[in-house]
Amino acid sequence: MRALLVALALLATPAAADDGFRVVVHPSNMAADGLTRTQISQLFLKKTTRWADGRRVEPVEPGDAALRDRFCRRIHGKSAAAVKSFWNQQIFAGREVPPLEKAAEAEVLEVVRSRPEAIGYVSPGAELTGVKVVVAKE
Amino acid sequence: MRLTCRAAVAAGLVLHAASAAALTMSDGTLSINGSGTWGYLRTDDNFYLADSDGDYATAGFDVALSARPADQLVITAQLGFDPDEVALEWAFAEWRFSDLARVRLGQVKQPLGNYMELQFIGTARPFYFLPTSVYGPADIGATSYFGAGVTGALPCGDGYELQYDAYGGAIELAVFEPYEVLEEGHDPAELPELEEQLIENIVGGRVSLVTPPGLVLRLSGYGGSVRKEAGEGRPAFFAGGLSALHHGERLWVSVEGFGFVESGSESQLSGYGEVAWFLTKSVQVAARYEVTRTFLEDVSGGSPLLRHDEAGLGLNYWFNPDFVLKTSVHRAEGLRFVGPREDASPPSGPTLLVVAGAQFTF
Repeated sequence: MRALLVALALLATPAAADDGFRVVVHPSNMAADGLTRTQISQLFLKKTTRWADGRRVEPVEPGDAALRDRFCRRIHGKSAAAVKSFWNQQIFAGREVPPLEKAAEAEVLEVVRSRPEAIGYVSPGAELTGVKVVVAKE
Repeated sequence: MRLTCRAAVAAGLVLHAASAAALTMSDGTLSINGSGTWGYLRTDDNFYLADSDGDYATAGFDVALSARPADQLVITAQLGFDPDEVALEWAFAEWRFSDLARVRLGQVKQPLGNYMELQFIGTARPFYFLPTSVYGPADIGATSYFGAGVTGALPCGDGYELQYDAYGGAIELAVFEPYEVLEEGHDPAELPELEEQLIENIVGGRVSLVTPPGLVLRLSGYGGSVRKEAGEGRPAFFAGGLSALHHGERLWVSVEGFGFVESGSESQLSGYGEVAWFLTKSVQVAARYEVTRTFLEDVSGGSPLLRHDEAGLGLNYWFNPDFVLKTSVHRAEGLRFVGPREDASPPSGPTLLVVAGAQFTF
């Protein structure tokens, strides 16, 4: 019984919180509920460019290098350097440009609060009022 | 004045590159990125990318612009600056019906092999220059095609993804054919220079399978007809090949084999294998071997003008994924891509090329 309660508690915890970041979307975004890590990766790599309701996905990233590296390793399974290399290939092949980058976490949160189609990530200590934390499934 | 303006634009963008990842305006609807390269190249005697006097004037700078004026419309272009000219490398409009289908119209990067779309991007590869046998003036592919195409990607589950490109129109191949001296009636003292050859009415495509470990397997090619002088006809032309690419955290591998056939005159097989390994986060060693064999109708093989064999070793220092210093040494045999120094007799023997330079992107 105790093990079951522990397991339920773990399921209720945003997976990203343990990883040193939290993935956030606009509170009205129901399409983000139940996203897997792979799906989150596809959104930030712009391999999936539309939400289920047809709106264009607008990923936004913070400038913090350490935070970005934690996110890349956990979500993409690659270092931030490897993801940067991926984007260089996409940009100069004329295929896609990287997500919008904001220097400060507060700016990332501002974009997510103001745009229903946005998805971003911030550090666990960020003020999360007005956004919804995505609980990433395995 | 024009050169001054060019230099000012380039300098401004380089200065910007030092302080930012890229220039993004209007909350992501306009992006400006750039790449640059400079190197010193020198051979022991013959001309192969440089000669024994050495060449410092190899700088190049490219600016890529991407604008999204409407939800489904993306306009993309790239300008290239070098010491001699400013060139439009590609400019096209893309209408995005979905992730599965994006229609492209204009002067579009030719999707061929691992690197054709990234020819000018030094940070995408381990050597300062791409293998000449496939990406040099080898009659294989062009920087861009003029026409229309469609591209898309289809996730196949478990991390696999199928990507495709299909296109039609025309391309301009960079052609260097010193073996023309072998043809009957040609003046042996007159070696041809780098030329452009227009291939019209082409239909081409590329299929790529992306696997979860990061290995990409590709099949690409196209066919069309060569525009010749009046009365020489329009011979059919086909080119294609297989490619494999892996860019992991430490190991980079690229292997490609290509061939072309021009009806009634010539054909060619070429390929290379390239491997690079990060000894540390910054220090990378690289090795490459490439080969080309050209076959002419009515001419028996064996001439050094019909072959190219090259081995290269490289040592790189990556400050970060956007800035790298590269050194390499190459030994080339055969005269398919090697010519004489100016005012010199036809070359003989192997050619040693040394390269040292820097490449960057933002």
